[in-house]
Amino acid sequence: MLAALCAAMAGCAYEAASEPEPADFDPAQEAAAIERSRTDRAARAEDAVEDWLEAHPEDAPLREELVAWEREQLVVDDLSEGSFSAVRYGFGREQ
Amino acid sequence: MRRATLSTLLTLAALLAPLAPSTVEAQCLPTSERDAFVAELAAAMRASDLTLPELYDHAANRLGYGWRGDDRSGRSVDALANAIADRLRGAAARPTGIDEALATMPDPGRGDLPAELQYPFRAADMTMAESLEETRRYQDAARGAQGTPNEREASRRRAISMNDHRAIGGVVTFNQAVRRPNLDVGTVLREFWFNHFNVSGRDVPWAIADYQRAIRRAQCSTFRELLLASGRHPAMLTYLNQRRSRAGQINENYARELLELHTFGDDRFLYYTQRDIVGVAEILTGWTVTGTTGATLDPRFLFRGSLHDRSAQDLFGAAPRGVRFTLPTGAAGALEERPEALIAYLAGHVATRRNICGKLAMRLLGARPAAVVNACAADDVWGEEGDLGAVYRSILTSEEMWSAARYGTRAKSPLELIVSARRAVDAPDVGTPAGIRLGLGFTASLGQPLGMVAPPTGYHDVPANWIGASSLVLWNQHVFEHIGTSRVDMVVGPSTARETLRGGALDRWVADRLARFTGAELTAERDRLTGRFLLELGLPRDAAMRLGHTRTALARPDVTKSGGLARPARSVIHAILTNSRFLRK
Repeated sequence: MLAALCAAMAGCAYEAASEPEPADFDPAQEAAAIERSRTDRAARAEDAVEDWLEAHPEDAPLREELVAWEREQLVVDDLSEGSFSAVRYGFGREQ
Repeated sequence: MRRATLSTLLTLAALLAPLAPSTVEAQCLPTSERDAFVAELAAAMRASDLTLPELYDHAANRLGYGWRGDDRSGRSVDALANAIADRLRGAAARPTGIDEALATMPDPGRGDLPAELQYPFRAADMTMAESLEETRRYQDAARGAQGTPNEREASRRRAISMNDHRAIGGVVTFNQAVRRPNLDVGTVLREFWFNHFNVSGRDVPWAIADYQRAIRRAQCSTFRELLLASGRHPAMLTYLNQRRSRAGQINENYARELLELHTFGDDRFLYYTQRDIVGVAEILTGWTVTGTTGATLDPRFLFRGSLHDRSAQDLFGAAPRGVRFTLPTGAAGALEERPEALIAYLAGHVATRRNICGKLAMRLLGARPAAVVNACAADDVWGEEGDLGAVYRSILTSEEMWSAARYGTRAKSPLELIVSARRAVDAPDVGTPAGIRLGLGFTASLGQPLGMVAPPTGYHDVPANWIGASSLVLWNQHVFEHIGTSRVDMVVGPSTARETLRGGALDRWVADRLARFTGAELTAERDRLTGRFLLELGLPRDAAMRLGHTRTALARPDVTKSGGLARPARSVIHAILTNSRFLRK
């Protein structure tokens, strides 16, 4: 909603794409870094599903669905560092 | 760069508000029930031994966060009952304007950051998708920046973004409690339910604000629907790892808390066994999160049948007081109904009814009287699924709720304490980043880190957890350092020449009054002045509040200077706010 409000206003801070960056911060490098992270995440999802299918070959027909699901979960994993659950339950309680 | 001013944005928000789509949340008080509720509520109040000012004080503390403003005109039992009915009716509606104003509050110390990061509370008004988009972008930029000149700055921005989103749950709670009108039943209930279905901002920074809004939207529906709103929200699915639980690789975390905390409230295994936790976890497989990848993000719940464990279940029969629940092997096309059947079973269970009614009674009236809990849990109130509006009304109209025995008997929580003090004196810094951080820092230092409580139990609503010698010292320190008299207005003078005083002028006026008397007359004048201050702060002028160190504050040696009283108004306000009576609700 804030973005919508700002879009209707001249000079709104949220519209300020021209905000000067610090001299040593390169937006092109930032875009490349984001791309690297996402490529890496896609590869990790493929690897995780391959590991699962080795133990559960009956799920092979679901491969594409599992890769998509794994990619979605990895985004959340990456944003939930230090999850409480690992502390409370330890490794033994998660099966 | 030109910036939108807060007032401009607020004005625009107010203009746009009527165009917003109407809310679809359930009502805690349907129109057809209003008259009967008001009559029953007023009857319960009239049966009370409390005076009218005490009833208002009791309502302000139990159904809100203390009284703000000095409007005492038109007070009556019927007016109070009607005001509570109005608040209950709108309890599920999101407050308008408050979160929007919060989101547009800049932090002057962040001038070197990208524009969006200069607004520390921007997530208060972001959708979950916007919040995920921002945190994911900064996270990815920092992860991929390793080895580049951007690395340090990318990590700094990621940390700032993540911290802002992590903290937003507490920020919104504190800000709404401070700024909402009196008798804000909706925010009290939202705080209660968020704590009951706790998730931590540390684990789900991108989902915490939306989760709080989802809880509020559902808090006037049924308990079954509230369970689904919590359990299927990406915040809870992530916090307790349900999203990664699947057939052949179950995760028990959510199943365990669903039974132990959210429904039965049973940690003695009277109603379930460890085997039942596994069975519940198997039934819930397939509940997961989607919409977190791609160009257009839309994080949401999804039932993935391919992850679901279809095995037949026969649960709860082996527990000492268990009530059997069975499910046949799942049939294709009807798998999603299996977890929903389980949730419906849990919502109607007798242990769930008693647990929820007992916790609500404790929150609203400060005790769990058997008669109140039994009435709330009965079929004609709870129904099959837990009619939450009827549940609240049942507790509010009980005579126990308005009994003198419940008045001023329970210690305020850290949030209630600091908010009620700031509301009473209309503290000038509540609307600034510094004031909000001060409030959050205080509650956290007393063991109630709003929106960031790590365990799924939430914070324990037990005063012993936060009232002790060190917390009292902290409170005294906070009052003396941060609460002044600059916003306490007092109308003085004869009727022909009344004037409103505050701050230093008020101090001088009080000192002049006291200088006119000696002996017993001086004592009587101190009592009169203390009463005036209590009135201005919206507090009842009972003996407990007037006597003790409040009464003597106007004569303490440490406020004398050069033979006269220095800052006596400030001194008496501090004495009131640190009086043990003010610490109770």
